[in-house]
Amino acid sequence: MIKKIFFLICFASFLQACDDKIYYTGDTRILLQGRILNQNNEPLQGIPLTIFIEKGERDGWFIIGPSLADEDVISYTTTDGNGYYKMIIPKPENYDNISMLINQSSPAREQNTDYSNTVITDISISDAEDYTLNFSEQKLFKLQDSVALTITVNNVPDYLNGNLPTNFSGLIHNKIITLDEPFSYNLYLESTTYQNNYSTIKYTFTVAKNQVLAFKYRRNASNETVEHLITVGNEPLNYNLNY
Amino acid sequence: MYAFILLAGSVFAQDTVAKSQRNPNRFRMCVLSKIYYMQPGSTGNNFLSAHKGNFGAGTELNLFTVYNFYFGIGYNFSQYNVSDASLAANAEHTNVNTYFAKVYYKLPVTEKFSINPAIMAGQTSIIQRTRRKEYGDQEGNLFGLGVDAEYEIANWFAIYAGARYNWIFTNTEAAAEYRDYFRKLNQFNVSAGVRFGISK
Repeated sequence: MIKKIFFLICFASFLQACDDKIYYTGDTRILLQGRILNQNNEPLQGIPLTIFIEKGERDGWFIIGPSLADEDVISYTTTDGNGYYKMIIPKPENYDNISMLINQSSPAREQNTDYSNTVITDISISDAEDYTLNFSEQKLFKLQDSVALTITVNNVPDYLNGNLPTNFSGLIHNKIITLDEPFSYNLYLESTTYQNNYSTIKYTFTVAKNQVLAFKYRRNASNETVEHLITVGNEPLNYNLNY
Repeated sequence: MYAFILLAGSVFAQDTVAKSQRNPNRFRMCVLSKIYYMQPGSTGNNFLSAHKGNFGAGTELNLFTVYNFYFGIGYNFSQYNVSDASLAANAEHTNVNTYFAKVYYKLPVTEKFSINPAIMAGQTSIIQRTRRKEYGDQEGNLFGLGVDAEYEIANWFAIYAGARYNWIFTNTEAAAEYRDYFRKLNQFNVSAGVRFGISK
């Protein structure tokens, strides 16, 4: 009896693991296209782009440890002389997230270390029109024209435990753009430090000089959005605000 | 099963051929089996041209003949390596499987040497994959033209080389500007192989 139960558990675990695969519909092809410019609106040639699809791990109480995850670099390319790019992928199914990595090393080309990079994430295939997803224009900037920006948010309520839903827009190095959910509290983990038992949150970025950045956060209780426009000049900047 | 058909057919064919020598144009059964290596390729601007031909193989079985026309069926497998991942996706291989009916005409040049123009039609399945997983498949129909040059070494054995051009039509959905790119494909394959059986 115990042996049968054991094999039943093994079989169920096997089925559960199989479900964590990304599938593709080969007879439906999705075009992803856009253009990459620099901070002066000039096209950037030879910037690598990669489409990354992932199926995340599940906690699975039924088996020992997490079930298998799946991930694919399904397409990659570089921008042409006018900064345009196009990638066509078979339609993915059963995925958790699709991201486009802009100016990060791909199988075709190394990252251009002179320029910043960006990740567009939460891409949804169901948003495609005529089997096309348009990403319009994305801007990168020269890292030699960058300065350090530190944004410190004080008096963050204890109940948030540091999970402040934020949104940053502007020319930021290692920028992350979420398409479906503009406010997120865990995108910039590597740039975030916490002090005073999470009541002070500090974000540290490398940003382009001479621009106005928009920093927004959402108050959980009222769902109110607070926006701060931060003017960045030629010097490093520490920007302090109260929640 | 296939081997059994070949064996049984070959035995039957020898008997039939012997009788048919009285009238070589008469309808008669025959079994000619071909096995060949194939180097796949593609021309123009379509999904397969975003690949580089790797290797291929095929087999054909001709079942009857009349007036030097030979009728048969066949299967081809050709494997391509993806050379442009932006258009063809980052799969290692694209495998093209074709199942077809074929008619060729045997045009004798000498007693042992012949030129055989051919026409074929069938179905195609295009599957992209890596060693680890598949990246979907495309189904379609195939129409092909080709020509083989055949040299008969013995009554039952011949060697041959040939070339084929296949048009493949799929129902793949894509953005308007790329619809034909995925729907109208072509293959240009060169092949060389051997033929067993009796055709006279």
